[in-house]
Amino acid sequence: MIRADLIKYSLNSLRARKRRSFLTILSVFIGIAAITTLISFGQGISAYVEQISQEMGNDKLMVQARGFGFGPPSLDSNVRMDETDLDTIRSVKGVSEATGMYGITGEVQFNDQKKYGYLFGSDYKNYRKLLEEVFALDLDQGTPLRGNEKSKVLLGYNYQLPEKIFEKPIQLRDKILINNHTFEVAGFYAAVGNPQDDSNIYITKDAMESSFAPENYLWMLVRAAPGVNPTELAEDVKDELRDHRHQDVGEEDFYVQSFEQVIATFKSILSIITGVVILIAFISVFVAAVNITNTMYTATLERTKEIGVFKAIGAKNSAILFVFILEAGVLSLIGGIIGVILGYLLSSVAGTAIAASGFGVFTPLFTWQLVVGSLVFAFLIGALSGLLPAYQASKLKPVDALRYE
Amino acid sequence: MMRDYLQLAYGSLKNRKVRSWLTMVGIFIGIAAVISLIGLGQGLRVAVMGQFNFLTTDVLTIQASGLQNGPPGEGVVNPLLDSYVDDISRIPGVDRAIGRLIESTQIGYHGFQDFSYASSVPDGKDRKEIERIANIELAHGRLLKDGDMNKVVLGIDYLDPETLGKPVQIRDSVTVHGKSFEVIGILAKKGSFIIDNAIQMNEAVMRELFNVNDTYDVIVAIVPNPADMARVKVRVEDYLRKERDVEKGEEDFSVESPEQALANLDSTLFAIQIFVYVIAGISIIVGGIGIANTMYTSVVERTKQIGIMKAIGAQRKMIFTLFLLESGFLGFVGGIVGILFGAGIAYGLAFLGSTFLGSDLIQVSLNWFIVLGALLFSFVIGTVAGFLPAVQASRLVPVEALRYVK
Repeated sequence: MIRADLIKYSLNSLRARKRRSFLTILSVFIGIAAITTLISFGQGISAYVEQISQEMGNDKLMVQARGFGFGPPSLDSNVRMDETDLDTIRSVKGVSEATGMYGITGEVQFNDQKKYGYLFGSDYKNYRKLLEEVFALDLDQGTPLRGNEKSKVLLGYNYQLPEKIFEKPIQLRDKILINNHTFEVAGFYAAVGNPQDDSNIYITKDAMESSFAPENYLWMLVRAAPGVNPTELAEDVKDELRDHRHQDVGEEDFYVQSFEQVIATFKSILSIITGVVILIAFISVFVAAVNITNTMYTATLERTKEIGVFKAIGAKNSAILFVFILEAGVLSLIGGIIGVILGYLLSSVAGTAIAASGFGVFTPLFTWQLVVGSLVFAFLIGALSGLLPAYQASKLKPVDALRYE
Repeated sequence: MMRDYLQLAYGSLKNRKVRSWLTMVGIFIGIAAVISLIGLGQGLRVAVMGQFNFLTTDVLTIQASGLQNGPPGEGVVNPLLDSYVDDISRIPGVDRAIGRLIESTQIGYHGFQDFSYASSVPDGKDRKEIERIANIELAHGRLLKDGDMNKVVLGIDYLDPETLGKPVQIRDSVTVHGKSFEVIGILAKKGSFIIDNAIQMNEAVMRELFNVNDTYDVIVAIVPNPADMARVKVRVEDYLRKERDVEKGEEDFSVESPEQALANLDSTLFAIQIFVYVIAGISIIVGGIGIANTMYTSVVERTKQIGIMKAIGAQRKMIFTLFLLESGFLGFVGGIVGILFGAGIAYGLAFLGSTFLGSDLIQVSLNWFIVLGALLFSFVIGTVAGFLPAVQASRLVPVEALRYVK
C-alpha cells in the first residue's frame, strides 16, 4: 500500500464518523482559540515594551527619592532632592547630561469640570530631547515648548478626546486652569497607550517654579555618555550621591536605576503573568488531548475487525500505526486551524474594545510564527494523544482481530 | 426502579472502562483546576481584605481627592483644613470628628533604615476614640498620652529583625525624619501593614516635625447610629461642597464609609479572579464535550440493546433517564475526584508558599458552598452534555434499532 492510500483511508474514516469527529475538533479548537488569543495579547504587550524601550534608548538612568507609596512616581516622599544632588550626578564620570524634573498633582479645570493628572515641570530649554525620549513622547499637534513659556502647557493625548477626561475635548489655544493658574494649551503629545500617561500635563521648569514653587525634584534623568554601560554607571551615581548626602551603604533614601534594569524587571514580570495565564488556558488543550485519545481509542475498538482484515491481506504494523496517528493528527489540526481563525477574530474584537477604553497597550499581535506554531502544536498534540491507541491497534494479532465481535 | 437504572448505568460504564475513565479524567482536570484556583484566589482576597477590615464600621472617612497612589493625603491639591473638624463634629448625627496626619517617612535604628509612614494621634478625649476606631491595642510598654514629646509608639513589625536589623526595644531611640525619638510602646499584631508597620506620635509633635500647619490628611466622623449613616454622609458632603465652593458632581473630596472603601478594592480583585476562572472554566467545557462524545458513541454502540429494551416494553422516558444518568454519573464522579485533587493542589501550594516564601498572601479559602457548587456544576455539565445523546437514544424506532448492524 502506498501512503496516499493510507491518507485517503484516514480521512474517509473521519468523515464516516462525522459527529464524533466534529465534537473532537470542537474540543480542540476551543482551547487553541483561547491560547492564541492570550498569546497574541502577550506578544502585543512585549512588542509595545520593546518599542518603548527603543524610543527611550538604553543609555538612560533615573534617580528617584524613596517613599512609602505604591509604585512611582512617589509624590508622597518626604525625601528632598535638589540642585546640589543634580550637580553631584553631573560630576560623575560617564554621565553625559542630567536634569531634574518636578512633579506634583495637577488639578485641571476646564468648562467647570475638575480632573486630576500628574503635572510635570521640566527644563525644556536644555534637556527637551532627554525627557521626551525618556517618556517616549512625540508631539501630536501644536507647537513644542521652548523653555521660557510661563503660561503654556502641553497635554497628554487623552485631553483632546471627547468624553475621555473632559466631556468636551480641549483644543489648541484653549485656556485651562491648572491648580488655579491659567495656562494656554500649546499642543498635545501623541498617545503613549495607557490612561495614566495619556493624562499627564507638561509645563516648563520656569512655569513650575514661578507658579507652584515645588519643594524638590520628583525625578532626576541621566544620560550615560556613549560607550558607558548604564547599569554600571547607576552604581557609580549611587556611590557619589550617597557620599554627597552623607549616608552609609544600605541607608540610601533614593533609588538609581538604569532603564535597562527597569525594562528587564518589567519584562520578566510580564512574562511570568502571561506564562501563568497561558498555562491555565493550556489545561483546556490538555483536556482536549484526553478527548482525542478517547475518540481514537473508540475508533480502534470499533474497527478491530477492519484492522484484522488489513493485516490479513498484508498491512504492516507501521501502516496501521501511521493511519491512526494521522487520523488523530488531522482531527487536531483541523481543530487548530479553526481555533487560530477564531482566536484571531476574538483577539481583534477584544483588542479593539480595549483600545477604545484607552489601553492602547493591549493591542494583540498576530505573527506568522504564532499561527504556524499553533498549527504545529495542535497537530503534535493530536498525534501524541493518538499514539497509544494507534500503537495498541498496530499490535493486534490478525487472527484475534478477525475473531473480534 | 431507580436502583435498576443506577445498576444499568453503572454496569454499562464499567463495560467500557477505559473510555469511562478517560471521559472522567477530562472533567476532573477542569474541576481540579478551577477548584484550586478558586481556593487560592479567595485566599488571596481574604488576605488582602484582612489588611484593611480592622476598622470599625461606625465612621465616615473624609479625604481630599487627587491622585491616589499612596497613603491618604498624598497627591492632593486642596487639602482638608483643620477648621473642618469642628464644623463636621457639629453636623447632626455626628458624635465627634477627628483629624489625622499621615506622612511618609524614613525610620532609622543603629544604622539601618526603613521606609514607612507616620501617623498622628490627637490629644484629649479624641485619643481614646482613635484607639477604639483603629482597634489599637498594646503589646509592650504604654500608649502615647497628652504632652508626650519625642516619643513614638511602633507597630509590631519593628520587633522583626528583618525590618531594622534587630528588634527595637522599649526605651531605645529611633530616628524619624531625621529626629531622635524614644520608643515607649509596641502595638499588638493585627495582621495589617497599616497597624503593624505604624509609627505613631502626638499630633503637635508631628506638625512640627513635618512642618504641617493647618491641614489634615484624613478626617474621620463618628456616626454612632448606623441607620443615620447615609443621611449624615449627604450632610457632610453638602457642608464640604459649600466650604470648598464646588458644584455637585465636581467634588474634590470623598466621603466614604468603610464598607464602600473596601467594596472598591474588592471589586478589582474580584474582576481579576473572574478572568482567571473563565479561562480555567474553558477546560470544563472541553471536558463536557468529551462526555457528549462518549455518550453519542455509547448510543450508537448500544443501538441493538436499546432496540431490545424497547421491544420488551421500555418507554422512551426510561431510555432517556438511563442515558442521562450515565452521563451525569461521569460528570459527578469526575467532579468528586477533581475537587479532592484541586483542594490538594491548593493546600499544597499554600503550604509551599508559606514555608519557602513566608508569604501570608498565599492561603486557601474553600468552603462547603464552593465544594457543593462545584459538585453540582460537574453533575449538571454531565447531564447537559448527555442530554442530546439521551434524546437520540430514546427516539430510536425499535424495529430499526434491532436491525442495526455496526
